[in-house]
Amino acid sequence: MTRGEEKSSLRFSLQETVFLDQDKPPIGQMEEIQLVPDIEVLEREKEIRIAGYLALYGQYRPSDRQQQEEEEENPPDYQSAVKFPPFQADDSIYSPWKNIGEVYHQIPVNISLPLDRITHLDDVFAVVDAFDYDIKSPHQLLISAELIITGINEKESQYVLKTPWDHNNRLTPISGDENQRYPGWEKQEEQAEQEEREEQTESLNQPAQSIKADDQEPREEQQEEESSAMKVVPLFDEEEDEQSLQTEEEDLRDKERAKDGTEDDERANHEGDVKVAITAKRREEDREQVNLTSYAEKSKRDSTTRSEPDVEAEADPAEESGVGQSEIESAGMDEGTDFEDRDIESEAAEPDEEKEQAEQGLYLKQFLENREDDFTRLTIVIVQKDESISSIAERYSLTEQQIMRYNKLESEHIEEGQILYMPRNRSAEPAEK
Amino acid sequence: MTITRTRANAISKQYPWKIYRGRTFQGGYFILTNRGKKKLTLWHDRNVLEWSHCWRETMATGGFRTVERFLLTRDKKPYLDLGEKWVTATDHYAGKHPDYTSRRDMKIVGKCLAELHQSLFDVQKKIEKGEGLSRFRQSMINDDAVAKKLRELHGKKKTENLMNLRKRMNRSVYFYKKVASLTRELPLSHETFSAKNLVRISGSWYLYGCYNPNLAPLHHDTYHLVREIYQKSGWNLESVQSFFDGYRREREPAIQEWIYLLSMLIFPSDILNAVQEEESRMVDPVPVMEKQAYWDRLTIWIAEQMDQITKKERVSR
Repeated sequence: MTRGEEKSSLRFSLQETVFLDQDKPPIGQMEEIQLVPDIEVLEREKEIRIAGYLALYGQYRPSDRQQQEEEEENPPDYQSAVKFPPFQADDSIYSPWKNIGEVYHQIPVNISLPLDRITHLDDVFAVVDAFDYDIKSPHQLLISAELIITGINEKESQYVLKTPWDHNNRLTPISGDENQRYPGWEKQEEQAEQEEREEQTESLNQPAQSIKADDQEPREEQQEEESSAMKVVPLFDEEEDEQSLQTEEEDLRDKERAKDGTEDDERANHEGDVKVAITAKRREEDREQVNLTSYAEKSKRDSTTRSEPDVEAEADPAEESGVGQSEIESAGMDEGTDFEDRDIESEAAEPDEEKEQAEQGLYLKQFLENREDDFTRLTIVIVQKDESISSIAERYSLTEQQIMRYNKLESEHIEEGQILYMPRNRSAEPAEK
Repeated sequence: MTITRTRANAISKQYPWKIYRGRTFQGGYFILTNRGKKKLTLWHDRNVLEWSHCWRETMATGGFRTVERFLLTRDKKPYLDLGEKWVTATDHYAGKHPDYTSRRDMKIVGKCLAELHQSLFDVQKKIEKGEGLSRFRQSMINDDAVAKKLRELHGKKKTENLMNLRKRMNRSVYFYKKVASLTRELPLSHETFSAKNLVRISGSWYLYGCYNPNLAPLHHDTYHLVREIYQKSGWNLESVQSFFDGYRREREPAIQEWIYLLSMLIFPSDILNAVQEEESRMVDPVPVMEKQAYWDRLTIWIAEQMDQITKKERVSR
């Protein structure tokens, strides 16, 4: 996504040196290498945690260097002459005879973001982009990639990277805007690591504080605002989430009734709910404090919110319009993103939108119950001798057109050594970028 | 061509017995006669038949009385000539085979094979040369074939395993070259030999079978028999030790014979076959590789025996 859109992404550059075990054959030529994110996006009490690892899978044709080593011509005795290394009868998916060396490596990922940086968990994906490698030596690979976290609110980058990176795995945020805002990122990383060690249940003030400590003076005032905004938004436990889900279902049922058009007043109320809620959320968003759990909010949150009149109540058009707070929130729960658009849409109050809201609500429940991530992974294929696009497409269950489109190829002609990117998803259907 | 009831009746007329009933078996015919159970065997190569008859008689006359011998026809011939085929008649042996885990039984197996080998040296002098058996003098290990195979496999197979395969093949060739002349000098023997060629009847061990064998220079049979004993004893080297104890008590192989045996044991024939068959998905190579670890152990054990032999020889000099 571009910066001009309301949603943006976080980009982290990654450089990882992978050393092969000495008992592995030396790398001659890489045949295939892919970096697959195996990352979960977890909603915690005060933050979104993006945790897991990037799995590096590689296959290479070993160097002939070892094969050329000479045999011992005159063994000292018969015993030593007949002692050979055992055959490797591993039961991997590859044949023990396949002349392919394999690389597997995991790069841990652990990113924490304040809830307000996320509008909807569904929008958050970890994607590997701009993946490349360099064979530094027959037993050493340098992996370069960019990890993109999508679905991050563009507005203010007050998130904190609580990234207890492995010392060997340094993720450095780049990507223009983010980097410009936080030139002292590494310092912030260290601080985030300390924070991680100190206390898991830190308040939402802490991220803002950590940014303050970043010597970013132009940002300080705004961060103070943000931190104060964060104070007024309560956090919710799982119980509340369940309650909110129930409310969500009730609200959905209400909406269905409204959809039937049995009660114009009721319908009007619902339309009002949406409108008011959006307004309220826009206000929240302005404070950089929109978070996913707020979709599933209940009365506790309402009361808490109301108990902070200095921030929330005075600017809450919902209260001004006299609409019940629970209605506001249940409507807001169905709301996902794009508040301005939703404002217009909700005013139109089309039945399709309500259906969509219902689907979103149900999906949210499914998501919370049994979420399956479907991350994009990127595979690099080095074209081998006598390989064609059709043979590669067949190997990766893609169409030739997909590969050509993905690699911006004008013809089907490919040459040995050419690098092709394979769009692949965990799901069976390859993803088109 | 098989032996049918009609043909068996006709054949039996050449022998001094009367058939009561009979049934076919692979390559022959069982018959119940007025002189007990007999077995008629069809032979396809007269040279091999005469060679087989020769070692049996040599063993028997040399003192090994419990070897299966061909029964003589009414014309006092050891076999019947049916034109392109030949038929022998033997007594039917039924009894208990050696127990691979029994050290005593394995010693007897070793002793029997040693006596057979001893007789084959005499057979070689009598009939082998110029008697149409030279085609059996091809070695299992062919240097050119090994090199060709390695070239075929190069670049196609996983490096570590290919290297292991290559090391074994090259080392096998290395030892074979040291004793290559033996393949021309050693007498021909059975290409394979099983402990089941021995059967215990009334307290005596009988050597029988070995019909229509493929022939090969001496110790191909040792190679197969040692591996059979090792595997069927549950990978027990004590059984192998007992076998060699029995063999060496009867006959001490020259160190060149040991080297020849070692070169065969080193050669990873099972693995090589599995690799070739794996390409056509006919066999899972993993169990073969696991089994190869046992063959490696057996090879090292043999090498250890050889080191002890050479050490003794040095001391005795």
